[in-house]
Amino acid sequence: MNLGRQIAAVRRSQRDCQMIIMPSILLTVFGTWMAMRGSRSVAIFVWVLAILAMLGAMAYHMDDALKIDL
Amino acid sequence: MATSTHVSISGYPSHVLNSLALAGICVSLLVAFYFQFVMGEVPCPLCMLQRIGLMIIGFGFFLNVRFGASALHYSIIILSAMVGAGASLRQVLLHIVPGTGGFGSPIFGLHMYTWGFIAFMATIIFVAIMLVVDRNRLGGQAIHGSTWLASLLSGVLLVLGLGNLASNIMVCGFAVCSGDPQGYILFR
Repeated sequence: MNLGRQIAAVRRSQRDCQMIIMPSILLTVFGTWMAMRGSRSVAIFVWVLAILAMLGAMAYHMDDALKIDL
Repeated sequence: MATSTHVSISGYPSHVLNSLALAGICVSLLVAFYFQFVMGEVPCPLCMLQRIGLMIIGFGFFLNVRFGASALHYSIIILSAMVGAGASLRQVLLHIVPGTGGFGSPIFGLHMYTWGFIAFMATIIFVAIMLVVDRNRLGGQAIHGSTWLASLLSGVLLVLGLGNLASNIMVCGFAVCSGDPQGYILFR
């Protein structure tokens, strides 16, 4: 697998750039980084954003009907 | 007075227990990576959401280790565990009907999403116990520096977070993740 094909694969995915899960991971990493630096308030604010992003991703990926009768 | 802070905070059972919990979260994420890269199991979107659930729980425990135990940090952990449990319970329900099979290989008889749900519930129980342990010092201690343990565990959590970010890009690129990914988008 050459590098050119790998870049082309990523570019194809960029065309419909709908990063659903990635923002919550990014925000979690950023929040951890902020906490490591001692910025507690910023870290907690970023956590709020991360959990909202995660809830958005869950709403997107958990919308199909279950084959069970509750 | 960094030295005295280090000694007094490390002496708290809360500090040790929160550190152990954070270490447990890191081990769980490492096991997930083991199954992904050694056993060749590509994570599905719900699996990734559960990993994020574990990471934000770890973030809450790290806040306790880094800044001292507080009610706010414990509420962060509980809310994160509930959201993570929502994702794992959803995946359990997807496969609960007999004949629908499972996703991934089982560990000790249970699939990873079932273990995930147990872990999220255990976290909530653990926090309930910790709220009793820390009942007299939930205001957060004024820690002006990071202990070596906090630095080590946060470093591991950060690396695992970056690893999950890289894994997500490898599986989904910058597009919506497939519900049942068959491989890595970079290697197609």
